Amino acid sequence: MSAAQKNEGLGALRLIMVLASISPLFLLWAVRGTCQDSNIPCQVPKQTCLVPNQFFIAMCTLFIVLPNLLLLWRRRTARKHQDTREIVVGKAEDHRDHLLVYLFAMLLPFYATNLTSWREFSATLLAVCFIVFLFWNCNLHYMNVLFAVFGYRIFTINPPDDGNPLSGRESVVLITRRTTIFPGDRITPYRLSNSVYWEVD
Amino acid sequence: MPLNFDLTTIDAIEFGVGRETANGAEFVSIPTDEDIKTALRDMAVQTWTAISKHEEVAFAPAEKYDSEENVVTATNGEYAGVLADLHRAEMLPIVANALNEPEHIFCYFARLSNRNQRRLTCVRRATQFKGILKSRLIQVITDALKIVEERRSVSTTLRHVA
Repeated sequence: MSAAQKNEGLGALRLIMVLASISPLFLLWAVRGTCQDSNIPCQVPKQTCLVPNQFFIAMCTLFIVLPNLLLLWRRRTARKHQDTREIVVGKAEDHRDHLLVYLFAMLLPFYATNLTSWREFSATLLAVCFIVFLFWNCNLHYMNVLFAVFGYRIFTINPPDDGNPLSGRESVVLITRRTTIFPGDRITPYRLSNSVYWEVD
Repeated sequence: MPLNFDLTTIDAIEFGVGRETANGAEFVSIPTDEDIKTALRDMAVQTWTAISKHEEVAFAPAEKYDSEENVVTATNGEYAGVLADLHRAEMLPIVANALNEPEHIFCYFARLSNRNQRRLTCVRRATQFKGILKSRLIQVITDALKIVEERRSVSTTLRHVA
């Protein structure tokens, strides 16, 4: 298999990173729960839950904490192994607007769904699986609100066209606190996956 | 000619292989752990120490050379060819499992970069590789190559992290 046909590699880690990126959705679900009040006339309102609250909140918490812990473990491993790559900038684009795509594709539609019947719940889970697969397949695993929360920006970096037949042609994503990146800059960030790199201060 | 590269200020070490594919020869980078990087740096220092003892001679394709000589050619000269391309190439493709097909590998290389944005490229003809995938659990987090000691012999081989 040539480099042009290679697979992206670290597939499980990329899936974990996608799950980490949708952790705010699990937070919203944990707050909403799967319970609803029964409104039967002449009876004291009673709450019925599709999934017991404790179990549902525990599962949501697991999906919030575990992927993000694994992401931090990956970053720690990359630092420990000095798993760096020298990136040369041909063209850099700030892609903060991708967070809006993420917001509209992921958080808003799924937040609005009703999780109080098994049918709705199953359909929502299937839809989340489709979205997770698309994010994984399209290498959008860098999309994480937590990066923005901690002051990181997302840049797409295209390598320079130097005419060298051996130079890489694939663009990479850089997570960094820099505000600007100029053509010709050389940056040595840690590798999270083959297409996503993290510059630690 | 002194080495125009400060070996004490290295900030990135890249390991990779040259291999034959259906599309011709290509050079790819393989992620490694810090032990391999240290070993590569030590090998570069030892190699330079060894060859710098010899008198420098200009490379001529018709000449025969011993296994250890100090032969030079300009990187923009007619004999540098693909080695000059490898030295100047930026962001080589990463293929973590490139050692899975050792029969297609014809060389391995290390590219050392330092803080002064200088680069030292070391190339060696391939002899033998053992790429063995062991623990699936750890591979979730890293695909970096690691040095492991053989149990029954003293030889050191390169393996995927275990």
